[in-house]
Amino acid sequence: MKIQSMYRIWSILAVLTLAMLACIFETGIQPVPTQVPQAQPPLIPQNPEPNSPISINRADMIMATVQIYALFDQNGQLKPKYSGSGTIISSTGLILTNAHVASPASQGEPDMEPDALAIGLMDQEDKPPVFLYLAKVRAVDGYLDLAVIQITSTMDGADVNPNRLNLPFVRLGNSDNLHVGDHINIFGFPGIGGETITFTDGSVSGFTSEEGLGDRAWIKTDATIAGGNSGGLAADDAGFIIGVPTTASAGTGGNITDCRVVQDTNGDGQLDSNDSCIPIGGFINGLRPLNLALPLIKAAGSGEQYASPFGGPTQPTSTGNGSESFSAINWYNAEGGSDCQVTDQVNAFIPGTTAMAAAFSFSGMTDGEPWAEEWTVDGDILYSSQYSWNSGEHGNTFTCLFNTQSGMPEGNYHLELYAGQNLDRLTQSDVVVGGGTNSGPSQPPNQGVVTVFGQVLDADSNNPLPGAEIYVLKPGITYDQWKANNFADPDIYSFAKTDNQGNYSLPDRLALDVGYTFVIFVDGYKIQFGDNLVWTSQDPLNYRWDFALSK
Amino acid sequence: MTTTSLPSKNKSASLQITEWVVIIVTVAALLAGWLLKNSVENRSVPFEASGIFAQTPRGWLMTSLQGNEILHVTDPLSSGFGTTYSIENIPVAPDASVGQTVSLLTLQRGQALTAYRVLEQKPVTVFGRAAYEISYVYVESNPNLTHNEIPNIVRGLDYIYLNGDHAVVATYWADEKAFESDLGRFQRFLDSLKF
Repeated sequence: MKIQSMYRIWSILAVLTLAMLACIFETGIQPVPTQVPQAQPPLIPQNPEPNSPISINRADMIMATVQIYALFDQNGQLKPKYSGSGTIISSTGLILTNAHVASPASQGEPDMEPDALAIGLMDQEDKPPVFLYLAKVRAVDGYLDLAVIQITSTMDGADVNPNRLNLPFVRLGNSDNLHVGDHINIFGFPGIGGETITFTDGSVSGFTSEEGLGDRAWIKTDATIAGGNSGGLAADDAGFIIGVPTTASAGTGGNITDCRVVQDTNGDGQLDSNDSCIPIGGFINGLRPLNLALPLIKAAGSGEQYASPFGGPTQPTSTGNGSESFSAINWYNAEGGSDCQVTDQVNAFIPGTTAMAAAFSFSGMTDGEPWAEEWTVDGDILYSSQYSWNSGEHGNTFTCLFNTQSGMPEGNYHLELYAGQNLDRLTQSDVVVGGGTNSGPSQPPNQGVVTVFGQVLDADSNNPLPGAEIYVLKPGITYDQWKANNFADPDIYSFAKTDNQGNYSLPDRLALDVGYTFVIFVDGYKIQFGDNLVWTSQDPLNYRWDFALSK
Repeated sequence: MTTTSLPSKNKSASLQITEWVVIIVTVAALLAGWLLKNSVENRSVPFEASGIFAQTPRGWLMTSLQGNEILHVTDPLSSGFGTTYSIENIPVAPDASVGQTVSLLTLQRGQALTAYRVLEQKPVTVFGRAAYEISYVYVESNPNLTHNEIPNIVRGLDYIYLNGDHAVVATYWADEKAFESDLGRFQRFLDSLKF
């Protein structure tokens, strides 16, 4: 009887166990219905060949090369606008890069100063970097175009202890020991978004001197380095960093190369030419020797304040005499990149044009005074920069825009040139590349040309007012008419809302010599409006208009 | 006089039958339970938005959508972090590489998720369709620090499909403890995904 009972219990238990196992296998881990098309290479090449220090060092170099995204606050979210490369030079997260990548303000472009720098680290060499950290500028020299940044937090903003980062890094070399013909290894990320690390093989082809920097201001190389590698790693065969790939300044003009739309910046659910594109640098024609970066690295490592002994290349030294004048612009085909050469005059550019030059004569200029250029294509800013004038009091000159890699994007181009203490617009011109998007110039006289932006503030406290609504009514419609029409949407020409800092920018440009009604509304404040507001050719095309509202 | 009862052959046979009945009833009950469980788990409701179709589990809570999300459903019965499926339809350039979307997605996740860490990323084929898989982990913590509770460790899986001028991102989030056991159901969800 006892034996029978035991037998019965065991039988039931066995069945239960089998049933449970069946259930577990049904609901549990299943083979993932995925297949990896190719074998995954190891994180770091395994079993490097004996006596092959280069292989070992290249793996170290790869792991120490980072991609840097310049992030800008858009409605509370940080989004990338441009990218560059950098090199980790200490396990505590010090990164050497270009100043124009980390801090464009140091080169006279405060509007391009990012709100944060995201650091993308390599996980696998055939995969895009993963953005894990945010970094801050510790030392920057706009003249040398060098910067040292420090990883300070994770992407979600949590502070990190640099001493516990233990990151892979590249040791500092001595660029004075380089010789013509020496082999160099260049690493970086040539473009934004999803690009894997790129290796470029080259040799030292010479050195270039520069006043104040000595005979080794630049290391020339025979390597063709894509623009996004800017700020990346140039190392010798022993794995020591000896330079920073840097686009050498070549006077005026800009290289927009690829200007790639990667984000839905206007939030319309489509990625198209209405979204801002992210410019990617052209070709890099030199390396900044590491030894020029040593004072920055020392300052950044010790926490000392770094002050450039060179000043800034674009820092104006004169305010001008107030009599500056630029002539109308004539358009020319051009050749080359940063060493732009003007060829024949044109009225429009054919598709595939790689460089375009805008020539003009000038007078009343003073060397050292500020001047600037802004290029737009189909209404979007393609390139803008500010310089210090160095072409004398009067004469003829030109500025170039080029894209040696894939040609200038087709569209309607608009160029404006500014000069003087207040950077007044002195001339402007339109030209078409390819078929353009309209039959004529991008901004005929009576179409929108004026961009209005500014800030909405509390009149009493001067505090910014987020969420303020700015309405611009269609020409001819007054505030009272709009009100009588129950604030109908079809009457609205343009609309903007202020961000957390109270800033706004109207998405639609205003035409010259046309009357518009502005209405500014903030909950809890008196409505402010103005009828028949007219902009004329005397007004700047980028018109700042701040509003102070009372309760 | 004493009597002794002898073992009865009939009684033994009756016992054997009882044992078999118990076993059969047990197996039948387990089978019925399993079928019931499966049918409950497999109950789904059709979903369609922006030309994307899927079968989402029935009874899951549909929560508010963020950014480019077109679907965000959570299992109300899961313990710890609620198992969640999401579909995002992100505009991309027609010539965009999947790597571009990966970079922007990891950048976005890194900002939004605490202690976000990518465990693995790789190109895969999911039910015959090319995709890119990102496996990651993060910590879900109640922002109210006065709550005395242990934060959840959440595992996530993103499947990124390029679809013309959009990237479809199907995401699976589950409590670390439930991640593996709930994976099968997510795979059925992935299988139902059509666009």
